Amino acid sequence: MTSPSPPPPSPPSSAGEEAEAAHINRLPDELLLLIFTKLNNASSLCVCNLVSKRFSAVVHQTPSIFLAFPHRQSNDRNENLPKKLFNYLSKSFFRKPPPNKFDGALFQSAVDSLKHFRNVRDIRIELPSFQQDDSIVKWHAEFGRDLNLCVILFATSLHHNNQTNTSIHHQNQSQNQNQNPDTLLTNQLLQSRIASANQCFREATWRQHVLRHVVENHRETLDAAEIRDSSKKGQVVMKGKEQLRDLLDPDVKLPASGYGKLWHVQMLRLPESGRVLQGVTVVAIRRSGENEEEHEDVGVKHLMMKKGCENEMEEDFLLWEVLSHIFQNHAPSRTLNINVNRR
Amino acid sequence: MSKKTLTLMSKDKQLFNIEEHLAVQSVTIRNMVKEDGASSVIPLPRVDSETLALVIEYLNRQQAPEEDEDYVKKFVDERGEIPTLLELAQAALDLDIKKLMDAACMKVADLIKDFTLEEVREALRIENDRTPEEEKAIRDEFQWAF
Repeated sequence: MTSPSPPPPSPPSSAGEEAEAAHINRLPDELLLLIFTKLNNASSLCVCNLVSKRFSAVVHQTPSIFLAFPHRQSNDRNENLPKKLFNYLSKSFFRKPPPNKFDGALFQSAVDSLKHFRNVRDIRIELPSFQQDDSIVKWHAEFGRDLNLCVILFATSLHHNNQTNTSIHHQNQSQNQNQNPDTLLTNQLLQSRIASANQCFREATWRQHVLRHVVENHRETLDAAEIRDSSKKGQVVMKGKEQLRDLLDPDVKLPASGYGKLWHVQMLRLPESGRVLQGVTVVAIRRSGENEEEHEDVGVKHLMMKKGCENEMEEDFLLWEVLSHIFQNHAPSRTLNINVNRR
Repeated sequence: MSKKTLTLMSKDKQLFNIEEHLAVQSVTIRNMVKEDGASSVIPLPRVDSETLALVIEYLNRQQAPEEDEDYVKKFVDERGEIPTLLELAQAALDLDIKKLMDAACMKVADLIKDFTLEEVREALRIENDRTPEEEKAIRDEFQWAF
């Protein structure tokens, strides 16, 4: 893309060059904005922002932004950067940033740079996955005035019914191929899955803090905001003005206590997608206020109804399919008491 | 029944014939036809003949509806040069052919998405109009993206 289009047969005159140079300058803002809208990616938009003053003005009108972080292999510069900035993002009960080489300060500056996009209606953020547990298949968290819950799906193995070897076998490196996967809910498995579920829940809460920060900067324009991880396993979605308003409302406090339930099924055959899951555990964790009565299903059915209405099932189809199957046919095996503040 | 034909005239005064039922994929032409029957030549003062030839080729496509999306994508893919795509997008904007405009802009976005700053400036032929200090200030603020 470095060479310009072939010049006309006559030797290039200066007038011709001027016409070429004027090319994008006469491109209407409308088209430039359409190109930026298609570009979508925050880091590319930041590059365009630097191109020229006119580009800046148009870039900042982009209505929809996708921020993948870190966007390139950021070097090991995180050691030197102050963690202070990051803590500002997570100032309340969740104090410790997620593990790994996550550069909180740089992420903060990336999130902050979004505030220049004055007309943005839709922000999607993608982060590396912080979960170490390979048996996590999907998780989904939802926060709001009436619903505060996180659902996590685990499976020891996952494959298609009719394809044995070309199955979408779950990437479980620690698992010996020749051994039958242990699908029984042993005490050890129970403990490790509860611990991972709690980790997911804390990560969901941290993401919610990040989203609050994002929404604060765009309260007039934003319709939807979400954070997912690059492995596409977990997502936190905030959609609709009402939910976004709740997120900022200081009166809507997150209850400090909660409860959870755990379902375990050794083998689950899903008729619709033709998938077979083994060693399936579903954990649902709900924050609840003092006066709230416990739900048999922790409110997952409410969540599913809501998602069904919004026609969002496709994204997490497997999760919803498992949930509807489990809730129809199985009772919870454990009830968990959760102190959501404890690490 | 013979099909009605329209004549479009490019910026450089070249004439192109196209059947009316195909031409009205352009909302601009559709409105003209509705208003006065558009019996005479329709001038397109901002579209050069090369670009108009491409637009005509696009409008003349005979694709089944379910294959149309792939066709449009392929159509712009084959004209992968940024200046051509921008001309095409501009013509599609003037003629109000949304699908073509979307596809051309999408292709431009695809092409520039991994470009460095200098590559974007070169590809789109934009002169930097900021001082080095101004540029540095922005670079610092958006450090994460570079």
